Amino acid sequence: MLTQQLINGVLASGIYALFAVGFTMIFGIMGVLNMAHADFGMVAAVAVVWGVSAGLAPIEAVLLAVVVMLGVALLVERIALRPGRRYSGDAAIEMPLIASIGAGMILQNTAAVVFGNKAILFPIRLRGFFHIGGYLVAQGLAVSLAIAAVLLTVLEVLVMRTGFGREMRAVAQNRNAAEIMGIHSERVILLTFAITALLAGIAGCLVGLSYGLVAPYMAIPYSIKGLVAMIVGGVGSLPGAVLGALLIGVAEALTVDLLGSQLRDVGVFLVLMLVLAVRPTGLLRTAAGG
Amino acid sequence: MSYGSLRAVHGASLTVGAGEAVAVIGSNGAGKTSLLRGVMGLASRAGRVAFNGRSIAGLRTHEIRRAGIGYVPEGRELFPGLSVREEMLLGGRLLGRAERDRKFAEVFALFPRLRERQGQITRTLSGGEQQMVAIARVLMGNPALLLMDEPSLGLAPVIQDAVYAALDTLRRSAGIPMLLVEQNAYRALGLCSRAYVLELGAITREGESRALLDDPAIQSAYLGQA
Repeated sequence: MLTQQLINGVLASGIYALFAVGFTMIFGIMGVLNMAHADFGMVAAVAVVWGVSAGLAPIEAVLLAVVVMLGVALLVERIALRPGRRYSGDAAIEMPLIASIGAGMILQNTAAVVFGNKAILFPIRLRGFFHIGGYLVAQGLAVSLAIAAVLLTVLEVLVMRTGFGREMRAVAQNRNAAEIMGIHSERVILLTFAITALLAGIAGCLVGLSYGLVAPYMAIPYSIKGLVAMIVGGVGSLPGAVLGALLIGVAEALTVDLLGSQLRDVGVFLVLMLVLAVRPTGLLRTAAGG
Repeated sequence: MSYGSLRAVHGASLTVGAGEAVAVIGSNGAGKTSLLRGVMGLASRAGRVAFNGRSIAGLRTHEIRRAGIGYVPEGRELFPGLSVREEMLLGGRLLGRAERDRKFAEVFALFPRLRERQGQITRTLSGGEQQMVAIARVLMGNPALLLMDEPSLGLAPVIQDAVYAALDTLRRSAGIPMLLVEQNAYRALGLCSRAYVLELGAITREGESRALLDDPAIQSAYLGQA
């Protein structure tokens, strides 16, 4: 039973990692929390539902969802986050924080008005199990974990090994210095934002694939877990976000095993408090940018 | 012939001609740093700034760099998590591979220390080495004009010597025009042929460095002599 729960925890962590990495990249390069981040996942997921119900093939619906979600994300960036970059000090952090919470609520409520405040069947589902050595491995989550691993590896290579990644790290570490080196920092920020939105969108669809259901308010628990994973791993660190996601996935599964599923979030926050008590900067916090 | 020219007007009007090294000397708070930040679009500015006959007053900072102005800021402004090589790659990122390799060799010839330290994170370098990185990364981008803010600040005299020797080589061999802002007037006047004296945001004197060095008023105010 314990091993089975560990497997479940590791499997769930793939989707958490996709959200957590997005949160941490936005914070790293923009210095703000985008509280609407996980809602981009919901937007993509319900867009797939809408596309398929309108008669599109699943792959067409996914492509449509990516376009819709990127459009929504760039609109949120323009309206809720960018104005904060005109300010310095606390306002530069608080204004986008509050505005993005608002943007997330607008997205949730709009989806609830359009689709009804209820769970909707996701048209692409993978609900079976692999039987491996006497243990059950959920197929949807296994596929999600594999996709997450590939995407996050590509992302790590992009950030650490390419010219664009170097520009991203430069902007994250010292925006003025990046500008005097001729880097169009605003464009680098926007591209980074679009990449994180894409990760959220994919994660939202993987939730639908794995659990079979999506809903207007589905993003809230993923927001919380993504943020916790980011903080546990060390804000601004990509490997940290992945490690954090793994830890809270396992903690959640173990809590379900030991205390029951009503208390699943208790384990997540226990991990958070424990890590903050021992290492207040998070497990893998590096100097800057990461 | 005027190859590069620079004009900042706000109680201060100055020009840098082709192949010329020009100093701006002045005490702390005279506005030297603000002058350069204004040129680079990092501080609010009123007035005209022209480079190669083209106004750059409306451009943003990265566009000013791409127009050809290399800037070595006060305090160096390195990226704390990048290596020496990565800083230099950023500086030369618009170059083709062959040109970039040639540039690396050229800059390493000027600062042999940096060749040894390529893989090191810049935050862990000494102050003098960091200053060399700040200059080296700008040189990687083939600037047509160099703006330098207090390259000797906070460095031990022997390190200052090394940095200034490199700048002198640069001035003589590469002929890159420079505008050098310095509190250390003696060093600046030694490197540059011409200089302006900036006091409280306004230019109060200008002339050949040699003449300024011999001027008793300059000597007592900026060169620490009675």
